Amino acid sequence: MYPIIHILNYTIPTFGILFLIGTGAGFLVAILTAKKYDLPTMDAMFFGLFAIIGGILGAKILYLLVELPSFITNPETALIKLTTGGAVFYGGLIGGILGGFLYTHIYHLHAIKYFDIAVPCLALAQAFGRIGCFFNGCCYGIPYEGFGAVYYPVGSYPPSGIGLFPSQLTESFFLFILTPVLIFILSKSKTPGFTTGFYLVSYGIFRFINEFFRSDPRGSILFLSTSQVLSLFVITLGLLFIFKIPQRLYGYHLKS
Amino acid sequence: MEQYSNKATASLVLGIISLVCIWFGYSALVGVVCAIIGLVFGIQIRKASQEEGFTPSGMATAGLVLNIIGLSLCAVAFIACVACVGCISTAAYL
Repeated sequence: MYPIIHILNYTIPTFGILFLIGTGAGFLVAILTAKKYDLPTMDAMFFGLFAIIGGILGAKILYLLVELPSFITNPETALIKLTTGGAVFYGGLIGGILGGFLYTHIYHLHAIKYFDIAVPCLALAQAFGRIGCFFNGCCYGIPYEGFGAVYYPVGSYPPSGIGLFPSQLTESFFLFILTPVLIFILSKSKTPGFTTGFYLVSYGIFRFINEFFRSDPRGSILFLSTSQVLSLFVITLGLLFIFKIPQRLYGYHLKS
Repeated sequence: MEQYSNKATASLVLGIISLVCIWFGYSALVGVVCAIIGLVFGIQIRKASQEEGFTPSGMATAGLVLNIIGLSLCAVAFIACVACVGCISTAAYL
């Protein structure tokens, strides 16, 4: 477990480094994917930047909502948690979508084409981010003693001394596989929005299943975790994209 | 054009502030906010130059670049984990 690395006299969170590498790799993929719809590279970059801004705000806002009870009971640690603590992926995803949509809305661009070129980049960035989770020790799995079990050292954030399921690495592996699949689908697909729908459905299903193999403390709604409930919404949204319903609504919006 | 000149100056200043904030622990949060605002100004100028057909000033370009660098580097310290809830494992080290 390496939650931080030392460069000269500075301590830098490993997750942050991998997040930065993932984002950079995502932007490089965007240069390739933007060619699909002949979109200007600059617009693709700015769309990405707006999505990142929205993503950062969304991730922190959802984190704030989920952790609000603990912030109220322990206000002295609230600021530390808010600045250095977690964020919620789905909050980031929703914020990112809204941020990207805002950019296309302001500059009258075709939002769904931009979402299509963005999803392979997002999957790649997520894949790197999950490796960051692994080094950080967060998002750890259930106790498990089979192939690939992870043993964290004493004093680390996850339970030490017992084998844990490598839930971060399984998700990272899935996303590394999903990225070229999405690029292939994007290159072959003739329907704007299909790639976005495929990403939402495939990631939603995987995340829903993977949540059963995670045991880190996180919010729950009834018998499902918060992320599982949100996964169901994401899968539904993805199916709507595959059946072209948002595309039709967006077409009416563009005409009006 | 003057509004773009003012925005370019604001973008550059915010970019410099965000870069300075990297070195002071929790002020990275301020750096992220500054970089986001500066970046929005920078993008507005770039898009306006494309639509209205003028060349963006060097100050606007410098502001955009500094804000991108500022946001990236501040985010390294600011974002602990976008993938889970309640990750505070790095907090003890910062």
